[in-house]
Amino acid sequence: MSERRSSPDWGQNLEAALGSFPFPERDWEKDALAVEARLPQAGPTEAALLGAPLPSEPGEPNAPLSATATPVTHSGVRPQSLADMARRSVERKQGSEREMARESLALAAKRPSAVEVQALREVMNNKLAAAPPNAALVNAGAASNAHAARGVRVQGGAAQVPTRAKAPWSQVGLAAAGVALAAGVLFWLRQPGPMPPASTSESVLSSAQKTTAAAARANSVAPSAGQPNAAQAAAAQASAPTGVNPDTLPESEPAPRAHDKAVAGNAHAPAPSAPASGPRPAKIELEDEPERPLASAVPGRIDAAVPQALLADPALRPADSTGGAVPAKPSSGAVQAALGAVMSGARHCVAAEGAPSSALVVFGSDGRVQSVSVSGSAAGKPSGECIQAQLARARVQPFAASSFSVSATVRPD
Amino acid sequence: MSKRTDRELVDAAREGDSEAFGVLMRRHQKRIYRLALHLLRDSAEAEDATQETFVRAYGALDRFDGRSEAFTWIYRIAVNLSLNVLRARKPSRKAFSSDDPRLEGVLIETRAGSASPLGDTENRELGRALCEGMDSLSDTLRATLILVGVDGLSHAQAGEVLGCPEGTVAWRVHEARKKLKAFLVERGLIVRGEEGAA
Repeated sequence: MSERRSSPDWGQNLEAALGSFPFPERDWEKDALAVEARLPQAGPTEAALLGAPLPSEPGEPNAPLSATATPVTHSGVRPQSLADMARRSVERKQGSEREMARESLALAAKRPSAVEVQALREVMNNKLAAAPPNAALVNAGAASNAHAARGVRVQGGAAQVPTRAKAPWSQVGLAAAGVALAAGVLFWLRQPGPMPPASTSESVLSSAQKTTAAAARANSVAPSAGQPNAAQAAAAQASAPTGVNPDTLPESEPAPRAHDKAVAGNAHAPAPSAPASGPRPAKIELEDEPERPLASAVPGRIDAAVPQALLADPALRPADSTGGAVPAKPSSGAVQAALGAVMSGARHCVAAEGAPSSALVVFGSDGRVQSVSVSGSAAGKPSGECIQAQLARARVQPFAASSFSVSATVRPD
Repeated sequence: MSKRTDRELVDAAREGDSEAFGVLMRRHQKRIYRLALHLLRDSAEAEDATQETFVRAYGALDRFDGRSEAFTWIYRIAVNLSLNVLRARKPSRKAFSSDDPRLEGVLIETRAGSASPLGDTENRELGRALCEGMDSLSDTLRATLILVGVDGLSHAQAGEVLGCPEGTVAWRVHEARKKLKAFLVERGLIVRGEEGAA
């Protein structure tokens, strides 16, 4: 032990040394019988022996629950355990995400301001004055699409407008609006993330169709310049929707996302209001964060995505934790078991020798013995070769290091 | 007949089945003895403490409420008894002696990348250094390190034995390792620059 040890394997050496501390065998049955003989005279046990045995260490983060406390649950998990703390932390995070989603929905469902409505009206008027009636239809349909796709439910006021025979342009407008909607929905569906509830998609789609149809009907009713108010009324109704109470919506309703996709699909439409074209609230950007696992950053190498400071210190791992991967080195228990299985045969080899011999067993990374060097009384003798043959049968599980050496003493039987 | 669980054995022993308690005792006596041996560093005292542990456990079976594992409950009695023995010892008694029973049977030491065999002398030297380092720890840290590092209990199980949360156990193990490493650095068994890596 005078030799200095290198830092990477110090912790594991200590772990192995502690875990394989010597344990002299005894006559356990004799001990058990001695105890059984004393049991009939066993008196009452002091309560102090059943209490928590040790005082707190100075600087300890958590004081003991109480001097006589016993574990609270069957599983031994206490309310202040790390597992509970982690669970509460996750619950808090989920709660804040839920709150953030509600805020995002509220922003998305915010009623347009009077200025925005006025601006839309001016645009519509200009279009109606300058363009043929069917262009106004397309614009009105696109504008109402933009609002409908935001998840805004439009009440059926436009449905009261009487209808006439459909013009071919109105059918083109309807088709364009439908294609834009489909493109938006398709684009949105291709994005990674959870599917929204079916009822949400349907409500968005149906309200969009309803609004488009209402605008189309209004336009077809008032094709002449003398009656522009019907289309304006439909557009106004579409641009001044009833607000949505976020508390009445499902918690996972992805209204902001649907809004984005629909706006992308209707890129040719004029911006109806500032909220649709303005910067999105920063909180909406966090929507997908929990869905990205760390491991996906670099496939197959989670440690590359995690800051080094956050990785657990290998020296602090529990003694039996292997994490399911190939260990750097075989555990001391595995090595002891492997050598113990062949040691009796090796002892037979030196039965005729008076003194013990030492053997250095080198395992390869595949778990097989690469070489056995025998020193001591059996070295250079047939008994040494016998030891080599016996110990070479030892096997451990494969490990990452190139080799692993173990020194063992072979004593005569 | 299938192997009965600790809980079933305790229940049977409460009903007066002394044979059931004998089975429970034989199941755990080695671990209790090893724990007492590492805490007391004396074979005879460890044997006495082991026997006393089971006798006291038998006398307190009615007070086992079943909210923890039976073996952690017995462990707790063993730790308490061992600490009582330590407190009753004369302060002049040497903590570590060359015939320390913990060093018996040191045959194998594992070491990666070694090109030369390590003989018994070096193994004993490692064991001796570890024993001295552990003896330099406080009772609290030493008992926690023995339960987790030597006996292989999980932090939750050690928390049941010691009556403290898992986080406290983890902190104590970390502290014990840090101090153990500092001790070995002081002895020149590892280079000083590695101290911060513990």
